Amino acid sequence: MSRRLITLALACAGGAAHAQPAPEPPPPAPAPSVDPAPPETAPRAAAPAPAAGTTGPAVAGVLPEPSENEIGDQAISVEIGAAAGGRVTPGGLRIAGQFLYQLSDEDWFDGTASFTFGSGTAACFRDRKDAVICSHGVADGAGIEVTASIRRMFVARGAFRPFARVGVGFGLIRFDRDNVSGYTVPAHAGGGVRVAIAPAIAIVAEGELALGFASLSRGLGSQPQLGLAVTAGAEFRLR
Amino acid sequence: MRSAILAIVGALVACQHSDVSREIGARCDSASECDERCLGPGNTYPGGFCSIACGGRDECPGATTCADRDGGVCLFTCQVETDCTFLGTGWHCTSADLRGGGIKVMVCRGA
Repeated sequence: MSRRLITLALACAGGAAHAQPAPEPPPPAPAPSVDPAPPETAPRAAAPAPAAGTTGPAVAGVLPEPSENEIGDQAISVEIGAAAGGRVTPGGLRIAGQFLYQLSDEDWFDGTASFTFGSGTAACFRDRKDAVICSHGVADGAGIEVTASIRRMFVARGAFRPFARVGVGFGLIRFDRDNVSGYTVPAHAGGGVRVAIAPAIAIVAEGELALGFASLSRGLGSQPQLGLAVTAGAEFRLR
Repeated sequence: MRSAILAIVGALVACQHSDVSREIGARCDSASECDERCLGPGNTYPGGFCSIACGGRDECPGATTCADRDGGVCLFTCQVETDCTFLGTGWHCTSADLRGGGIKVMVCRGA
């Protein structure tokens, strides 16, 4: 599957506001200087040649030199952290695994599978009109979700490379003691920073906000969802 | 997109509110629907009533008092009949013995 097809599919799913436009021709090579640079510095000054079948660099020299291949074409990561929910949004321990696939110089497809493990505290009841009301705490319930996102890498600042991420997900949630379950379709927006600690390994920390709707059992019907998560972990370049 | 976000945020802000809770006042058929105990549905507690056991007034949350019924349970206090209408039909403002107090108090309960 080509990178363009993935980008297009994500754009159709509403999560690719930052997908790259059609590739533009690379800027013309700089005219040779009258006073040629020393041989060891010449390759750094020149824009990298685009690989076959990939989009050309949006702006030559945007990415800093040390990160030329720092993230890699594909990568996986595992992260752990905390998710805060409330009412009918699960929260608790968050474990996530991600697969990154480079789409362009700045953008990566970010496929995430995340698991949330919260307490099993019961917090739903029937009011006097027999309507079910749930008021779970920030760390109650459980959930599993797959998310398709676009991760945009920004220019590194020293050892730190910030990034932003937007995407959409589909998940299943469960509040066991209340016998409430259902599915959720949240939008995600967040950002973080990665720090390369080895040629193929980086430490990643990120935070994200999830906003959407859930369809729940026990007559709860459609309910708004709002969650916050902060995670950190390790990212491994595959190629 | 913006309207969808506003709708979600609006729904969250207009958070569900209730005068009752799993602790006191929720409808119930069994104790699993309550924090502590369920006074089962019937003429005395129409629709069922979640409550907590008590030995005195101080052990009950605000707006409730300890009635000397069913071994001592917290019930909503009232002054007039309309104070109990939020509990639904069949609920009335009647007198009951105060647990551990030796006096009468007005509480919401069924017939």
